[in-house]
Amino acid sequence: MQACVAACGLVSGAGRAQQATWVDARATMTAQTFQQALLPGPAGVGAPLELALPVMTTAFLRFGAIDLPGAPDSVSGEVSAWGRLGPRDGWLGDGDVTTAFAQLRTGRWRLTAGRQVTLPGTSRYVRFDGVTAGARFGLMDVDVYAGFVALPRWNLPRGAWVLGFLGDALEDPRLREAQNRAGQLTAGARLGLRAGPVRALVGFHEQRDAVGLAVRALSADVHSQPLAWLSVGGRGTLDLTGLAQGGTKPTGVSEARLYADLTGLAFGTASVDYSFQNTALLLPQTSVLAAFGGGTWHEVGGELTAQLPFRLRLTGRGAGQVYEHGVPGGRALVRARWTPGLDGRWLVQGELQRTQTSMNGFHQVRLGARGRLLQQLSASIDTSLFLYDRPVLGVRESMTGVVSAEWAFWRQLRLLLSTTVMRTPYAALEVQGLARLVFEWEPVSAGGLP
Amino acid sequence: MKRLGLGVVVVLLVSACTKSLLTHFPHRQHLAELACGGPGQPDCLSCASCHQGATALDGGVEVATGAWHPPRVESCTSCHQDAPQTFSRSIRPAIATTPAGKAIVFAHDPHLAMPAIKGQCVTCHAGAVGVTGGAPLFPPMETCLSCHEHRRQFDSGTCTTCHRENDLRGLRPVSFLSHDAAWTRRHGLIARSEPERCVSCHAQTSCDSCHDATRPMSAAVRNPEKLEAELVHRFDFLTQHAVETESQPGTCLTCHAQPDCDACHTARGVSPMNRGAVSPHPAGWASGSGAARNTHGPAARRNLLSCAACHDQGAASTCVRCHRVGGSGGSPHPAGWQGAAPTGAPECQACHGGAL
Repeated sequence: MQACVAACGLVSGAGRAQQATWVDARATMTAQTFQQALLPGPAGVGAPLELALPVMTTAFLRFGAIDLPGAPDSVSGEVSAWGRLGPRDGWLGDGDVTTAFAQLRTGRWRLTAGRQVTLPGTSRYVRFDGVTAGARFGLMDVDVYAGFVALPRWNLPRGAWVLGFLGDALEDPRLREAQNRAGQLTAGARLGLRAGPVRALVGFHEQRDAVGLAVRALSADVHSQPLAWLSVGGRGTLDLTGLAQGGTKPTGVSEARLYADLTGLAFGTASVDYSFQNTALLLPQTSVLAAFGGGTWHEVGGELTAQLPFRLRLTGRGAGQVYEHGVPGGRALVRARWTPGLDGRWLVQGELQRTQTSMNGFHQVRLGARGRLLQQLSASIDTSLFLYDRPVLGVRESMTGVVSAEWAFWRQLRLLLSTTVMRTPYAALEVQGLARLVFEWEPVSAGGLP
Repeated sequence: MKRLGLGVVVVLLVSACTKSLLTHFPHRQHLAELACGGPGQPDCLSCASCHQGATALDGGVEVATGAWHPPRVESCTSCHQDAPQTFSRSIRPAIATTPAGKAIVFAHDPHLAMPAIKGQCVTCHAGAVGVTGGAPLFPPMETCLSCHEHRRQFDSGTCTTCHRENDLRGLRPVSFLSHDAAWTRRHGLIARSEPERCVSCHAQTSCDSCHDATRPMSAAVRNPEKLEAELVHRFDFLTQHAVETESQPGTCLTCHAQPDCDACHTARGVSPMNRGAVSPHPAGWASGSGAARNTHGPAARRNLLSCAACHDQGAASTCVRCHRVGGSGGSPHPAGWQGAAPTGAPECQACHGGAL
């Protein structure tokens, strides 16, 4: 294969027949130490956790522009996976193949086979093992897909969770319930249309589980950039099987959104949006509770970002919600971010946030900074104070702090050490150490920025 | 969660399109301020005096680059005796090799011959004779789009006419599909309607870097230094997650399967499924005899998903023990339910056993 830059037109790529085969890969290894001082559950239910030292590796490799006879540059693909090993009551191993697919693209046709991701209707992020076939006809794009849902694990069960607190590292795969992928089928299709600045899509998605039909939804999206500084769009998802919606109709709108973004303005950016959700219709239809119905909620929000002199950026964001019976809720945030230096090597930010629900609410005050102290050394500190309106387990505040330092041995190899300290309603003291070793191999993007 | 999650991905992208690349070389002195052409003076210089007609290696293959190429030290030695030292100070190594994302597929010669350009390199490369903070050395993409041909390609999102496919991951669109304003919150909507567009720059792994719920550690825990990323699960999310699910019901389902909630609660000993666990609900939650005054109904109608997190065990679900036709809790069907549509839907089958 040969990279050809032909001087046969104003843009030589117009006459290009072949690209060089390319490979892109990255591997990351994270070692974490964790010791929790206290984790009392409600009413004294304890969950003591011992010292753990999990080591986790993630890696991906993608490639492209591989030739087939009569179809140059037609094959591309991607493989990614993670694995974990660490001591806890013996050595626990775990892992997952998150992506593994190859794509054949020739002319207007494309075929993707293997583990891949689709973004359908209410099931908004589905990983499946199967096939997607697509084609482009002028202004239209058509895709059809089918396969087995990955649950989301390939060999083990759902039950994975990400709450973000430090005990994540201690998830024990032995606690999970075994799952059977039999019957976990998904299929769908989407039709895309491009007309001038307008992009529109109609999609159908169906998903089954071991009990029966879980999701059957029809969704529509539209997005347009009529002016260089204005983007508008919206979407809606129609649940075709839901029994809620007042119990009178077999279908209902499970969610809908409208938005408008103003970008490229002299002062910064602005956006407004409206969203609606009928939460009962977001339940899989194999859930008994789906028959109970539920309240809908509406949210109207906006965001304004102002770029000020001296590389100072201010952001204000707010959203108000109205639930059934007029119960209000809302969120608001004000943030100041300062990034001095041509390449933004320093960052200082402060943030004040308020969240309000009918059950509880909290204020958050956040201060953080990051900087490159030396050519090879960067450091960061991120602190936050939460003040709860109503005590949680008798405690009204959480205090957290995270410090990190990263040393770049060379371009491809970096080591980050981090410590987190928290005092929360669930822990009198929680300390975590994180060691992250990143090795990046990116042979096709070696130029870098000066 | 999803709408905030991909913030990590966006932040990781290098905004090469907006970088201003400045050279150390005193172009202005050489091109405009040097006394030249007269008796005893050197010949006047043009851009092509140093940058003309070179070849370069691309993928191991020697290809013509047209007018542009980094000058060689021999270009300087005719005037400068200390040329090797001066040369090494003037040429930035990172520019001597093509910066990532700047290696566009481009033929200079036909462009220089265009009437509008008149052979003048500075028409596009004004930054070469500029000052810090002035015009960029590399022309902004808007310069390319002043041509109808490229405007058409730009509007259709055809990037690979000019950009090499494997460079796109390091670039960030500035105007078309601008990753600005509320992009982080919008990206899911855009990705749904134009997945092929996203794939032209992003690997699917990019999605997984935030959205892969199978990983034991969240993106916030794995990346403590990314202060600017809008990650949901920062800090003490354990305490806040109950408030957050109430604040925007359904949002969690973007990434989490509904049974995940109970799986986690069970694993941590805070689920009613655990022996000895105490109900998290206040007294009177379902009886009306305590402070909660039987408020579980309105709470359930407001956020049924929070109930389903623990109480959804199919036909054995806690709710349907009471809320069934003839049960103490009355019919589970909401007001206005007509029950007119015979259905074999699974949620009906759980109680009705197909008798409808």
